[in-house]
Amino acid sequence: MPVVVQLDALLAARGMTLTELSQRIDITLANLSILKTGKARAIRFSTLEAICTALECQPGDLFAVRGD
Amino acid sequence: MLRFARGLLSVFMVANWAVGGLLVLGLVVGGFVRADQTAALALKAHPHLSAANVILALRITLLAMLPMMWLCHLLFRNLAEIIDSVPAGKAFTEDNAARLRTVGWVTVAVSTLDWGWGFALLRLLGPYGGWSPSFGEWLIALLMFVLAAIWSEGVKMRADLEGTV
Repeated sequence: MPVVVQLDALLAARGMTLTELSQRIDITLANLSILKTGKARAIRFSTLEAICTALECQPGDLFAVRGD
Repeated sequence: MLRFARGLLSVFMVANWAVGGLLVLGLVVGGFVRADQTAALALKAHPHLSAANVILALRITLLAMLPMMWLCHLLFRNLAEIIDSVPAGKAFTEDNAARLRTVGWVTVAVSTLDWGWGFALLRLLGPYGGWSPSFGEWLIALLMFVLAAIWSEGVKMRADLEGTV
């Protein structure tokens, strides 16, 4: 069961670009791209907290588990 | 530190062949070309030794020198390759774990050769052979194998971390 990252939808809803998010939370654009494209193997709690604070969302808003 | 060590290893690699080559030449002369004269010299200092044993000891030393030089070269080369991998950002790789294992096996081979040569010298020349057993090299070999195993674990942990944001 793959975990899907819904960062694109959240960014669109907040009217923010990935670059702006990267600058706001001091996480590299490269790492955010890895996360956005589903290539990340794990996420640190500190990263999750930073993203959720910047996007004013909950961790559950960021991820979804889709069936195969 | 790494640059200094790498420089030292380059010197050792050259010195191994240069000094080893000179020693081999000396042993060929002493053990074959001028064997009788060499034995006579040794007997002047230690009259109770046998000329045949002195010559045999020199020849056995020559026999041990050749593989020893190659083993030293392998050891220096593997250590140099480990150091060279660091600036390339490839220090924690399975290749380097394998190099550490190679260094371990080379050390085992060097120790085995050293003990074999040493026992031969003791049999032929008694205490005048100048050899005494040492366990340090065996401990170094064990250390290398342990390091290699830990390195492999580190490589797996690093692989797990890749892709962590």
